[in-house]
Amino acid sequence: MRVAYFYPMHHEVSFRYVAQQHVRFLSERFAVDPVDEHALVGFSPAKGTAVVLHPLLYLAGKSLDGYMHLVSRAERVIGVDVADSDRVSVYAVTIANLTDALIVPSSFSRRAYVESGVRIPVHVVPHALDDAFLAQDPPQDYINELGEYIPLLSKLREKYRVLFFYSLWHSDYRKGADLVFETLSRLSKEREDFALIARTSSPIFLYETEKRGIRTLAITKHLSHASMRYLYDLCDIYPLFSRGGGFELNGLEALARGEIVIASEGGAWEEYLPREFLVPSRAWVRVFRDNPYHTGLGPEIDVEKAVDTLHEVMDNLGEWRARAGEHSVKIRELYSPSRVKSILISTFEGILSV
Amino acid sequence: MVKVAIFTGKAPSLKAVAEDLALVAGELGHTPLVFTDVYPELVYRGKVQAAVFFYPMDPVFSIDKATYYHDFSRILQGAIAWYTTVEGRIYRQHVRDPIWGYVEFIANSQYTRERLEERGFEVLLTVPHGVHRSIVEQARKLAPALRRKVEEEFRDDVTFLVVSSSHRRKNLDGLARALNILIDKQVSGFTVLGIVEGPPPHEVIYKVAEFGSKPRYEVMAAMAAVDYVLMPTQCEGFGLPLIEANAMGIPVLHGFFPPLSEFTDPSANIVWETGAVTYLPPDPRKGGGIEFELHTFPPDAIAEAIVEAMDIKRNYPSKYEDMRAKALENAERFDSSQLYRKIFKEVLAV
Repeated sequence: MRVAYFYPMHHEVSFRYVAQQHVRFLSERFAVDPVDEHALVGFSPAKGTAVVLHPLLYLAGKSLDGYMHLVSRAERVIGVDVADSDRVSVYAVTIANLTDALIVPSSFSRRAYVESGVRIPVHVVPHALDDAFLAQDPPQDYINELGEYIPLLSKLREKYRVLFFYSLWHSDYRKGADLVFETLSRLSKEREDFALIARTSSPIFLYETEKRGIRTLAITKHLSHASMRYLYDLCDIYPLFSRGGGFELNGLEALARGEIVIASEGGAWEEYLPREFLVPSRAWVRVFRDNPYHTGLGPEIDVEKAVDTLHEVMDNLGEWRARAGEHSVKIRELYSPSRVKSILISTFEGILSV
Repeated sequence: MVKVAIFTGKAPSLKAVAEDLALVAGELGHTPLVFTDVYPELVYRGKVQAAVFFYPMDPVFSIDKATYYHDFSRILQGAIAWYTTVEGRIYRQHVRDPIWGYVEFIANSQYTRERLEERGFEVLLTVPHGVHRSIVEQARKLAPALRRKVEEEFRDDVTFLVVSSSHRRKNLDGLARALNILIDKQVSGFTVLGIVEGPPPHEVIYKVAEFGSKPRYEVMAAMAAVDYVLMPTQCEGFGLPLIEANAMGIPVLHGFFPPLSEFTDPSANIVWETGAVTYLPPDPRKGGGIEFELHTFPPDAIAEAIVEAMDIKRNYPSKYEDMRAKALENAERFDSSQLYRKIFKEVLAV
C-alpha cells in the first residue's frame, strides 16, 4: 500500500520536523509520498493509498468540507497528532473518529483522546531524539550559528555556579513562561549564583526577566539541534514549567544531555522524567483560552514548591547532575531514532494490515 | 458496534447534550461523530450506521432536517432517532407538511411531550437530559482554581452566576429590573457574575465570559465557584443549567414552571411561583414555527429570592449546606449514562 503523508512542509513548526522524521522512517518500509498540507482540499486518493494527516486536527479543521470529502472516499486515513491538555473537544473527537487510527506521542495524549470519546485505535509512538543529541562527537554547526553569543555564554559559565536554560519559541502561557519568571524572580531575591539563558522568539522576554531582576542572556534566533545540544550541555537546569503539551520534546532533549529537568506532576513529561524531578502542581487550569480542539486542563506547577526544590538542587548541584546523567543513559536508548523507527513501522504495519 | 452520527445545532445547550450523547455512545462501544452541519455524504457512502438528530422542534427551522431524517431513515434501515425539545406552542399551520408525518420523536421533558402530542406528533419516549459524570469530574478538577479567584475578588459577598443567552424569553431584562429594585433598597453584599451573550443587561453584572464560548465543564466549574446560580428565565424546553448547577452542589434560584418544575427539588433550590402564561411570537425578521410560552412573574420575585439566598448563606450555614447536599442528590437522577442509554438501546437498537 502507498502512503500519502500530508504535513505542513513550509511552516516552521515542530510538527514539520516530526513529520519529516516519520517520512524518513516509514520510507524504509513503505512507498511514501510526502505531500504539502495545501494539496489536501479536493484530494481524492487512488485505490490502494493510505492517507496520513499530520497534524490531524489542524489539517482537518482547515477545511472540514475537504476533510469530509477525503474520509468518505479514502480507503484508509491515519491521523497523527498530540493532546496539549487532558481533554479534546467533541469536534476533535469527531475528526479523530472519522479516521481509521490515530498516532500520538504519549500515553497522556492517548488518555486525553480516549477519555474524551475517541473510539478508533489510538497508538502511542513517542518522539525520537535527533541524532545530533546522541552523536559521540558534537556536531560543530553551533559555532557559526551561535557566533557572537559563544564568548558571552562562556563568561556566564565562568561567573555563575548554576545556569538555567529555557526555550520559548511560542505558546508562552501553555509553556508556563509566567511561572518560570515568577520562580526565578523569587530565587533571584534569595541568591545570586545563577543566570538564565533563554532561546526565545519573543522580543519582550528580556524585558520580562529584567524587570524581575533575573540575570538573563536571550538568544533570539532559530537554532539547530547542534546549537540546542551545545546549550543543554552548557547549562545545569531546565525549568519545564509547561501547563500542557502532548510530549514537550525540549524536556526529553535536555534530560538526554544530562541536564536536570524540573517539571510539575501530571503532564505528558512524567512518562520520561524521573519521579524525583517532579514538583507537585498547585491547580489544574485551562491550557488554552480559545483553542477549538485542546479544551482540557493541565497542571500548574506549585511555585512555592518549585522554589524549594530548586534551592535543594542548586545547593547539591553535583549530586543532582549525577542523577540526571544516570537517567540520560536510559533515555537516549529508549528514545533513540532506531527504537522509535521500529515502533512507528510496526504500528503502521498493524494499521495497514487490518 | 457502529459509527453513530449525532447531528445538532450550534446553540451551546444543543452542543452540550450532543457531547453527552457522544460519550454515552462511546460507553456502549460505538464510535460517535458529532456534527453541527448535516453531511449526507457520510450516510450515503455507508460511513455511519446510525444517526441521532438533536434539534429543537420548530417546524420552520427544522424542516430541512426532517427531509434528511426521512432519507436517512430509509438508508439506515430505521437506526435513527430525533431527540427534541419544545419551548412553546407549535404553530398548527406549519405541521401540515407531509414530511413531518414520518418523524417519531423522543421528548426531553413531559412538557415537550405534551406540546408535541397536542399537535398530533408521535412521541416514542421521554428522556430527560443529563450530565455525564466525566464532565462533572472535569469541572470539579477546575473548580478550586476558579473558586479561589472568586473569593479573592469578591471576598465578603454572596455570589451569584447567570448563564444565559440574551433572547427575550430568558428574561435578562427582568433580572436587570430586579437588580434596580435591590439597588433602590440599598441592598449590598452580593455580586452577580454573568456568562451572558453580548453586553450584560445591567452595569452591576460582572461578565466573566461570553455565553457559548467556554466548554461545558468550564461553565460548570464557574457554577461551582459561586454560592448560587440564578435563572431569571420565563421559558424553557428543559433548563440544563438547573441540573448542571445541582450536579456541582450549587442551589439555583428559578421560577417554578414547567418543565423546570419537573426537574427541580424546591428544598434544594430557591423557587418562586409564576403567574399568567403569555405567548411570544417569533421575531418577524427571522421567522419561526413556534410561539414561546412565557411564564411571567414580576422582577420583585427575583429580587426577593436574591435577598432570601443571601440571608441563608450568611445566617444559616447549615441550611445552606443542606441545600447543597440536596442539590447533589437531585442531580443524581440526571446521570446521562443511564438516561441516554435508552435512546441507543430502545430506539436505535444498536
